[in-house]
Amino acid sequence: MNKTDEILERLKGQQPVIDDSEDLTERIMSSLPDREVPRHDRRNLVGRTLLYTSSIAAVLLVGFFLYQNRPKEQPVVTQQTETHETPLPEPQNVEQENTPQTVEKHHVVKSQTSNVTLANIKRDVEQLHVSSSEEPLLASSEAERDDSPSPSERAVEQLEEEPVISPEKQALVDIFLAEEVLQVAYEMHEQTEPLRAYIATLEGRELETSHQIISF
Amino acid sequence: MNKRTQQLESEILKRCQRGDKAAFRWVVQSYQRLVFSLALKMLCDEEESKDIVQETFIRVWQNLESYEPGRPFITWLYTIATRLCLDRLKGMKQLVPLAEDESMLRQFASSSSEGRAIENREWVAIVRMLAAELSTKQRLVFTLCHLEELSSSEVEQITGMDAKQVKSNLYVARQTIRKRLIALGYE
Repeated sequence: MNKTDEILERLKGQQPVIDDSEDLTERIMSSLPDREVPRHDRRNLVGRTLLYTSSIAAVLLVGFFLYQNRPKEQPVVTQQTETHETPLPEPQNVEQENTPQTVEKHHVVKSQTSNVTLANIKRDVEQLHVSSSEEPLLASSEAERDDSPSPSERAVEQLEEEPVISPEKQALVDIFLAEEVLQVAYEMHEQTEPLRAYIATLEGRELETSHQIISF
Repeated sequence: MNKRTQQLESEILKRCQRGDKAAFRWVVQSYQRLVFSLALKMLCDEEESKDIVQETFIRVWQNLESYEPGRPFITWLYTIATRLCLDRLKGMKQLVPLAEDESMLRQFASSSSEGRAIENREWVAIVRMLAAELSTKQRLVFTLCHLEELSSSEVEQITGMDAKQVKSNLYVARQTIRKRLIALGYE
């Protein structure tokens, strides 16, 4: 190895010594600036904030969308039924006020001021007709029944065209109407009891027990 | 550097990234000599070199969040120090050997080669004598490859040069220094 190569080899890998390394360390440490949150943490913070914000916004948007597109609540039937052109038959006597027609009229009038549905009225009327067919004294004359729809039927038909109310309100209405029907039937039974007793006397038979009449 | 040391260093650097100054003190104490060595061989000035060391570690502290844990820390540290040295060299006058530098080189060359540590003033004189005719790139590559004994790939990462540029700059630098030594009477 010649001298030049020897000199170059001796310079390899040698490191100078810092004579006051502790002082230099202190100098460096004291000159370090205060670091805030590292940039990548700030990025994460911003990213997390954006994520949370967008998530909340998405949830709100979905909620708003669902609210806007919710199934529309069935409007309550409040429309007034049209005035009956055909007057209801005049009662033949006091007891006839509780005939099925009277009850129909009662319900039709009631439907003008309360939330009545087609199904309820229809069911009540049918029940009354069934009970009236079983009870001759309560039945109206067959002549009064013609092919033209009765006012209640027309009201029913009109109500058929109207949307029904929500199931919850429907249930409340059903309960209310059921009570009303029961009350009417009970009153009707009380009022016809003397007449039924008189007819039974004339026919020479015994009067039926009241629980047989109020069977519905 | 063995695996355990690498794990330790990695953990310390993570703590530094979280703003732990005590951990960073360990980094400074461990690597300040390395940075000082590079700076002194590049700048040939002790005080300037200490300034470079200080500035380098401030930069490291400020940019620790951009440090990728998978990358060797030393390479990243050398990169910062190298850029600072090159910036400082732009504002400095060209290296001109002093009269006493030649005698210092002769003293070094004539001394026994085994077990002799080179003093800082000797380093300054020797580099001034040998690297006076080198360009900045040649001097940088020679310092990193030859004096600091970094691998060619490390030098490529630090300097941004490709392998061919590193190889050619190193070859030219060695040839220039040999000619210089021959001119000084060393065969």
